[in-house]
This record gives sequence, structure tokens and C-alpha cells, in this order.
Amino acid sequence: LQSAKSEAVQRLPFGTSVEILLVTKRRFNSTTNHLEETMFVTVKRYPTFFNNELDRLFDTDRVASTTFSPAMDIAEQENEYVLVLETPGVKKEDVKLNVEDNVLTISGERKNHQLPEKASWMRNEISTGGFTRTVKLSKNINAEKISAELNDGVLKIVLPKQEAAKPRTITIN
Amino acid sequence: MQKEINRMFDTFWRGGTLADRSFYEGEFSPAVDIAEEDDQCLVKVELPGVAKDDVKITMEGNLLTISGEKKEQKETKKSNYHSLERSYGSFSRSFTLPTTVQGDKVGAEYKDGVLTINLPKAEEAKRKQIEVKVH
Repeated sequence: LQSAKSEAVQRLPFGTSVEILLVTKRRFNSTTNHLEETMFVTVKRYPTFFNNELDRLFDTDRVASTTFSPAMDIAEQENEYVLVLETPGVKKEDVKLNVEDNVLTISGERKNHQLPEKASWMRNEISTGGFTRTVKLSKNINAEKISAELNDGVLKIVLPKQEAAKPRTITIN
Repeated sequence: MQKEINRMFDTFWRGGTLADRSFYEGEFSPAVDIAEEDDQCLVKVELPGVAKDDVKITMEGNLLTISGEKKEQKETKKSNYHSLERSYGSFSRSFTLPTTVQGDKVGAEYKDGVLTINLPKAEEAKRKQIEVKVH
């Protein structure tokens, strides 16, 4: 799947996200009266919502390393980008933010729920384990000034734009 | 007829894949853990970014209902979204507990986006040790 992805990425225009999926397709064959199942790998592409050339900054990676992959919003504002991730039950000290080669990596761990002795699960839907999400940063982000806060299970990361990247109005004398 | 069925399946599979944007924007429904212990039931609900006042917990007999609303934060005023994976909306989840609960002793706490509810079992519902004499 990984090699299929990198091949697909190379062939796609910049600003398009790709997801590789294993799909089962079912067709009803009326001659044999049977449902025929075929499995195949498919490439789903969807445009990332960039307004123009300058805005093609982020390319997010949706391939999760484990079952727990926090949902992420990326919003662009006049002077900054805001990343919001949902990480309920994750402690501040268990989250790591790292910027290397213009790639922001948000990783962390949600500890396993300890089941007390003589207890049993009636329902266990909350997934645990490590998670990693990566975001490619544009050069117009001031990596030195990235800040983050974690409140009520919501991780908010603010990435300020470089001075030069901020919109300016030039008055004509 | 065959075409019709094929079309139906096609639509179904297209609609159900992860790449579909509506999948990410779907109604919010929190994940829940329920552990049954000797003297209590412990419930955990994932509610990231939900205000305490927007959650309602009710017990009706053995039926526990957790409902509320996850509101979209309005702080991001003039934003251009490049990715939208979080979902919002009202939710309601109900569970039938295996035993009766002391309704007046139910406790709840909201921390790090997780709601924890302690439901102490009623005295008669606690596991009793029965001694059987063998003659």
C-alpha cells in the first residue's frame, strides 16, 4: 500500500491528498444468481482546500500508525495557522511536538485503561496506544514561534506566519 | 435489473469509504468504555472540547443515558479551512446496566476531555458469597 501511495503521489498535481484504500466490491451476477466479490486497491484523491498557488502549504498525512488517530482541523487565519487535534484522555506530558526539515510531527500516547481486578468490560470502544500525525509546513511559517496548549482533551497549536507572508496593504502616495 | 443492483452497490461503497468528506463531517457520537466491577460500574465517555454544562446524565431504572451537544467553537472567526476532521452536533447514548444502581450516590467528573461516571451498585445487587454445605 505504501508503494502504491508514493507512486500515486508522484503522479498527482500538488495540492491533492491521496488515500489508499482496500475496497471490496460486490456485484450481482444474474446468470449465476450469485454475489461476486472482488477486492482491489483503490486511490482516492480529493483536493485540499487551497485557494491559490501561495496557499498550497499543507499536505497532511492521514495514514495512522495505530488505531488511535486524533481528528485534526487546520485553519488559516490572517496572521497564523491553527491546528486543532482531539486527544481526549491524553496527558500533557505524553504529547510531543517536533519540527524537523519543515515537518511538524505531533506524537503521543494514550495510556491503556487499567481494568481493576475482578472487573470486566461491558463495552470497550475507546482505543488506546501511540499516535502520530505529521504536517508539512510551508517556508512562510515561523517555526521558532510555534505554541501549543492542551485543554479539555483539545490540543491547539498556533503556527505564526513570517512577517513577509502576512498580507499587507500598500498605500499609494 | 442487474444494472440497478450494481448501481446500488456502487453508491453504497462509494458512500461508505473513509475518503468521503461527509464521513468526517458526520454526526458526533462519543466512544464509551463501561467496566463492571464488584461494587460499581465505571463509565468513561470521550468528550473532547465539550463544555460540562452541555452534558446531561440521566438514570431511569437500569437505563443510563448520556446526552448533550458538542458545539463548534466560534473563536476561529475569519478562517480558511484546509482540513476539517472534527465533528459536532448533539449526541445521545443509552446503556442498560446489568444491576440496579444507588441513584443518589452516582458521581461524575470531567477531566482532560473524558467524562468519568461512577455508578455504585445497590446493596442487593452486589455479589454475595454463598456458602453451600455439603452433607
